Amino acid sequence: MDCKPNRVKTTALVGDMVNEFYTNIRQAPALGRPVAWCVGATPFELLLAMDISYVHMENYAAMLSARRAEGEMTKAAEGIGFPLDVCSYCRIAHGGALLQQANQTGSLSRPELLVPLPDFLVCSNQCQTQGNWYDSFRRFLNVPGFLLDVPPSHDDKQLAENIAYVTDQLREYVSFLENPVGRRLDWEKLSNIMALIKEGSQIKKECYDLGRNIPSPMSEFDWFISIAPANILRGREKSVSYWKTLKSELEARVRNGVAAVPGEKYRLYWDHVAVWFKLRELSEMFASRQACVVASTYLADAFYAEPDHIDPSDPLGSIAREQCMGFSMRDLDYRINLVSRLVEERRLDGLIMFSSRTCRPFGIGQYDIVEAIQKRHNIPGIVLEGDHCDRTMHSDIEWNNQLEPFFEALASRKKG
Amino acid sequence: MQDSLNAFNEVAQRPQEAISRQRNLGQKKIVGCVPMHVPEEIIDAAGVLPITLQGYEGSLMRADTRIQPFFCVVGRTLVDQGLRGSFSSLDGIVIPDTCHTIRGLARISRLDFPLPFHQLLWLASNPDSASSKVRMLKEAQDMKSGIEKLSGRRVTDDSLRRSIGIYNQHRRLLRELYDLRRETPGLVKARDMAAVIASSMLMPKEEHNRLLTAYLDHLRRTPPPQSSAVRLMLSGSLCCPPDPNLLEIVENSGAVVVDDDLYFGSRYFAEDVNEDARPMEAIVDRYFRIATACPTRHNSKYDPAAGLIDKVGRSQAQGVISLLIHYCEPHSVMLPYVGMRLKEAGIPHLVLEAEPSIGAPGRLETRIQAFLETFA
Repeated sequence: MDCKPNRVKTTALVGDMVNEFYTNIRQAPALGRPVAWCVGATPFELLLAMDISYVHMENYAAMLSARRAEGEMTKAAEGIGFPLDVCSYCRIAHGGALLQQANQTGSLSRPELLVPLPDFLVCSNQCQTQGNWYDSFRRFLNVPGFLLDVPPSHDDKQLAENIAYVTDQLREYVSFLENPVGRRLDWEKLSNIMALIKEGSQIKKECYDLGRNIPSPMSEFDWFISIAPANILRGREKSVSYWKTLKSELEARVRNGVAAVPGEKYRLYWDHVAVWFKLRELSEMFASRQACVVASTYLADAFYAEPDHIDPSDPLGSIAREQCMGFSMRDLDYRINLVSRLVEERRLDGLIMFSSRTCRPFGIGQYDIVEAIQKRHNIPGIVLEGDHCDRTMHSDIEWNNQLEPFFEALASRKKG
Repeated sequence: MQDSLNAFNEVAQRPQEAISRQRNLGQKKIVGCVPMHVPEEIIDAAGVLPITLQGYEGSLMRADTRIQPFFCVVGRTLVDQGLRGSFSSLDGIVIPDTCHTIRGLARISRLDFPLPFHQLLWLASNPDSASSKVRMLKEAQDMKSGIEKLSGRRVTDDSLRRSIGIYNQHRRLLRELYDLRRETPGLVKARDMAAVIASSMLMPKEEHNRLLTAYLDHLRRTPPPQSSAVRLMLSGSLCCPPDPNLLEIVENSGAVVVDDDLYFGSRYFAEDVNEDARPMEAIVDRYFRIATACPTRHNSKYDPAAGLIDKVGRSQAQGVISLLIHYCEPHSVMLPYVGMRLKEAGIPHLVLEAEPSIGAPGRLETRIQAFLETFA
């Protein structure tokens, strides 16, 4: 049997879309457009509405890692004193920025991947390291910034208070943006952008729900590639078209029984972010074991996962809900229930808990989730340590040693 | 003086015993506060004893079942202690939202080792925003309601004022002690200073104030030691107390510690609560003032390097040792900038990975001695 992954064709569009996005950023200074660097999942829609070019630093670092250009950046960061255990997104971004600031990019093998230094910074501190990273950028680069303070919610009462708090800050954020740009925010334009986000979110959700089919038409590895249209490219016609094209392809696959993993035998959950430098390899490795990764918290509950939370006539409230309501800002019960729901809806056989050694916000709790899901659904889980961007912190041998018995356990359960 | 110093050391060296002793007195309920920035006055005003959790001795038994090895010693030890039932001598716990590790601890603790009073205290991070002061006040009021429920006593403005008075006095006494050390290097050994601070977090403040007053009286009558040692400032270590053995190595290697910016140090007693303002508002206002100098917090108007260089100047320190706790991301991300600025200012700077469990004193000693040789 051919056990190569059957990649979704639509994802091939993403490369060009992302390249165009970054090309536009690189042209921004010449066109007199301000450039914002965004640390964390900041509300890009406001920047888009203000015609400000923006770089999402995590996406940028992931892009560098996926294109094998992260090593020189992490070395540069280490050279100025960043310990290796600091978030690899943060180290890559600092390495690049400080080489640029010191005009030392000549030695880089792929300087064309860099983006212009920022006119200002924006941060959303959903992960607290992002707040520290933003502070460090602000000091090194000496540019103004705005920090959107997003508190975690432990219950619904607190969630409502936090949404109100973030909405208040968003009003201040709008004033912060209006100053350097020298013009007012066009609220109608923002509403239109929010309407596009809502439309995209709706179709994306329909696409994602198709993953419940057995066999699944799309794996999470293809979904990770599709984050760009939901993240940096959202609020644009192009991203809505992407979801429409994707939906057609997935519906056709379901109609014709085409599987993302031919001979799909095991359906798995993936916890946490992607291993950006290993997407293809991992996709092939799991396919070779006839395992399809068909669910993850990132795709199920982030990047405007819930279209009903978006109200184009209330853009700031919609953005505040997006900032506060996703799994990353909720307590452990919420995460456990989310995974449990995915296990049921998607008939999962096991959990892969990817635990990045330098991305810690979700590491604590992974053992609790495995235990809770095992109790509730009697399926096994495994915690795999590695890194999301820094390939020097990953070991194939370590992973294989752990995955071997995990798959043996899955196989014996299927037989039993 | 010996009595006071003995009492400080006794408590600091055996935190669990100190807590049990308080417990056996049976007069007050006890709430453990994970460092940093818990507004203890609110707890004290309810007639409950707040103590700061700080026993990071490094021998972990159960942590690995719930937390990966790449988290800091503070997070891992607290998880371990929780799982082992070490908090059973407490009536409650307050976990402030300082970093992702402590936030993670807060999340799993409610599931894995819940206590009758289990307060997850969010801390505002955007001091530039007017709304953050309102939201933070709400958070402090929620904590007040929780502690009232635990103690069965209402926290009134009067009881808050009384506690604020005691805490302000405590902070003034500690500041006096630090002033004395700056003026008379060597008068208080770094190891003893660490014991003073650690013990102050483990006993009622009135009692500590009495001991401190006696200690200060004695020190003022002590002839100043003649010291030609290198004057150093300690920085960092965030929510982990400095290792007393390390402090001893530093001062036995020809240096004397004259100041610090540690939480288990000068950041604990920085800034008073305004006694003329409404108590809850005044407590929150102090948070925003102390948060400025904390690497986990944010303030667009504050430069930590400038703050440190200013402190170095005021204490006439000749160099800085940064104590970096392994896997402490807020500190690790701040250090490169601070290191660069210290270098530009010509201030010698040594970064030591220095946590209680790291051991290998020989290696540390060599690095410290090599650093001190640069002053010769």
